[in-house]
Amino acid sequence: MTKSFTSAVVGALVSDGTLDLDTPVASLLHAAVTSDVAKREVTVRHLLTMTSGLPADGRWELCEVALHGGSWIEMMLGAPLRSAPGAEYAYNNGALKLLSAVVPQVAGDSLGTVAAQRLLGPLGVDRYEWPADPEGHEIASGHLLITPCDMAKLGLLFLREGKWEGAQLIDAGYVDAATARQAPGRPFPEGVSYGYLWWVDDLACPPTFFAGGHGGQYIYVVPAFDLVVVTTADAYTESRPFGRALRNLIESYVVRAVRS
Amino acid sequence: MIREAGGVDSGLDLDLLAAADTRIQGLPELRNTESLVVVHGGEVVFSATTAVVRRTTWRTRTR
Repeated sequence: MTKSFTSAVVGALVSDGTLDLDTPVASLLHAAVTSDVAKREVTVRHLLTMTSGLPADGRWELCEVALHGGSWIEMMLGAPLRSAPGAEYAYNNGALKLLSAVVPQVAGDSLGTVAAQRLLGPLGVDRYEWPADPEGHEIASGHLLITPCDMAKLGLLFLREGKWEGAQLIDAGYVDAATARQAPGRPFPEGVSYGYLWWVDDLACPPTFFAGGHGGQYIYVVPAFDLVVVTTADAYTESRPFGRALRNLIESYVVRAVRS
Repeated sequence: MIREAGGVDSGLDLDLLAAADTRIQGLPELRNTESLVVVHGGEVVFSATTAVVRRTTWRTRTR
């Protein structure tokens, strides 16, 4: 779920021209990327769509990287590519770590500061905590602590094409792209397509997009019904079917309630 | 922009929403669910929560 808030922050920076999605990540982070020319082609867009080609599991899972000490950025960018940038989807928390480092490079402020100024402040969200990792970057991949009603505001912002109380916080073109299929997304963990850090169920009737967080946190948006549904849960030790069961319930009851 | 419904006829089947909440409570596989908030037409039309503030260590695998 936190990832979709990160997407919104990136969207705000794209909207005013601060950030170009096709900028190579290595050029922004000035990190050692070895002599692998292909790795220099990893762009911000690849990070958003989980198609960077950088490894995401085993020793390269973000939690494991943290145990090694040293620079996480250099370790991740130093990892051997699993596939060519843009070629394959692979769920990757480390990509969000790179994004959290990209934001200060282009905006001059941390992800958390930009979020407060460009997103959460305008939305009237003032009760939240966005913890930082030991390197001082807000954790772009998770752990944002926020109320269910304020989660719903993010869904409503994207439902309203980036507009909030007359202000265009995020360009509508970015919102459209973020909530449209950009990568296969399947099968892990939600089994649907992927946009820019949003899940996209483009095969549903009607189509939906949603933010999905570990443990059962969902911001579920059904544009055709002008509907946003939020769930929170603490199923951190449950297996993957928990989220699917929760989504099924939303579709079976809540969406049906609107249809009726 | 999000407004509480306050008795407004939202056009939703509130009985069905209440049934969803009841079903969440009753299904063992969904026993960990804490909140259900429904926003329709820009208004909060249904809200049920038992949520408590909880902090996880960042070591927890995230999504």
